[in-house]
Amino acid sequence: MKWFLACMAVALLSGCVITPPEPPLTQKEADTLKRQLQACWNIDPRLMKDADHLAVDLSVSIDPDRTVRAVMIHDKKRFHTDRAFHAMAISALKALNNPRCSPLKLPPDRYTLWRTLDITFDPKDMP
Amino acid sequence: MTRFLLALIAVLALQISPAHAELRVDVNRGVSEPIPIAIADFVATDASGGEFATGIPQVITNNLVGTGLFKAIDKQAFIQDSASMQTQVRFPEWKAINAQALVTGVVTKAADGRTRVEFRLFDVFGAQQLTGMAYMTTPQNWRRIAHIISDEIYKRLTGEAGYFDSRIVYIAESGSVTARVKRLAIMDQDGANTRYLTDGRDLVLTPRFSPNQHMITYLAYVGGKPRVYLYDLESGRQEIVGDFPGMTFAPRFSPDGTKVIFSMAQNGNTDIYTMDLRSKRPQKLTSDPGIDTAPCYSPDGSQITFESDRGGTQQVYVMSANGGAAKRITFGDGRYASPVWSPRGDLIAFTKMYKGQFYIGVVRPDGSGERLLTNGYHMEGPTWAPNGRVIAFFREQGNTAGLYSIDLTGFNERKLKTPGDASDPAWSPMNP
Repeated sequence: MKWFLACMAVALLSGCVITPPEPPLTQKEADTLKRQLQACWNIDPRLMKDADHLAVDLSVSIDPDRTVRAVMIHDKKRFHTDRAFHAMAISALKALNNPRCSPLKLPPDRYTLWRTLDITFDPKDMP
Repeated sequence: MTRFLLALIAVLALQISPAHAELRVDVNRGVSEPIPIAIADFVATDASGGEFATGIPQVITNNLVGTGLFKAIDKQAFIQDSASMQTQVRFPEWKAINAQALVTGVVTKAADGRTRVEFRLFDVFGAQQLTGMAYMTTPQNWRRIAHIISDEIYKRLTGEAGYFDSRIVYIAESGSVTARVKRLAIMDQDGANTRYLTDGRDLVLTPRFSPNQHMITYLAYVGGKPRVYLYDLESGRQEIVGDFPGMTFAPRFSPDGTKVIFSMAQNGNTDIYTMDLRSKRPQKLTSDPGIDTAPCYSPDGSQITFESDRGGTQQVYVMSANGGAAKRITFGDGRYASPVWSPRGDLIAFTKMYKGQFYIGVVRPDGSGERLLTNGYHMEGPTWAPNGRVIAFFREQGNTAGLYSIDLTGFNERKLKTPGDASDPAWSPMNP
């Protein structure tokens, strides 16, 4: 009994482990965000000839007001050495900085779910 | 007690793990639209700067919009005026009209009579200055300053070198089809400041810049004899390149400017030669019985591309700059001609003829990745902009001929401004 009470006390103090996991974004919520970013992502048409190998992976930190706080490009080395990749990455950063994409269309009451997003900008479906 | 500690460790371990896996979103398409840019009139601090204060932004606008990558926002839509931007840019007002970039500037007259032109480029969404520079110049030189500023803006916003501060030498054509007058002409890349270098008495063709832009080499029919000449742009002096027994043509400078490479036809055979401009000593590079012509050096000077019919049809080849074995690099249907190596070294532009159509295309120096950029009834003479992203060429339609440019991806074909008919363009390196 003593052990149970101690464990419960620690669990309550920790505050997170007994919270049931938040359900992921619904398909509709994910599509809404995707469509919003697509409209903000302006791709230099000259990059399209290399489009099949110019996917840009980003980690995006978001503030509770759904504005972008910070962005990290995963492949920093390529960002500094590959001109086409650099230009594509800049276009992705601009998309996240575009006023039409601020605030991001995310469910406002589920901040813990989207405080950090991994976003891949990959123009593979461009006509 | 032991059980309690184990339970505590388990709880803490759970706590350290993130409560949620990071969410992943794939954005698989975007839009391809010109970047909206606001280019405000510059502020003139005295009346003498008035012409430049509006002229410079206009030249910048024409340059950037001409690339197809930018859309200039109508000045009527501007909320903030140029003068107030010198103290503070009110970014929300520029965001409100959807400007992504903003250009401002000031023109002042210096005590020595020269003009000081200052510009700033802002990222409106990021609410920050991207770059800013100041230049001192003579009042007559304001267009060049506008081109230099255009290059800076282009570089900051696209990540690539610009090409606006450069010139084009070409053949200005006039007169009827049966009595065509062809003059050597030079202009800024935007068509301004055209100057005619020859008077039209002799037929001239295929002009090419020297790397330092002091000289032009070209073909002239003087006294009915086709010969390669040099034109000194500073003195206006012309001289023949060597005194050869045969007809010489298709000249081009080496990348270090010390040699001219050309073709010479002799006894029914055409081969490629170079001539050292100091020693005047020629060197024969090919000795194939076919027609070897239109030679062009790679930017590092180590290789040469040229056209030859040695394999039975007109095709593009690559060989060492010292001659020797040549490797054929074009294998598509039709004939290939006038190869020109990109200043970046990564591609060779060519003219292709197939089934009555002409094409301008590019191929890698190893023969892979051939792409056709544009086609028409008669188009020839590709030449690279100094940044290696744009190609100019000439196109004949009916009885007229004009210069055109196209982006390397086949995007944004545009007619270049010339006072009259024009052919055989050659783009200069960036102005020194």
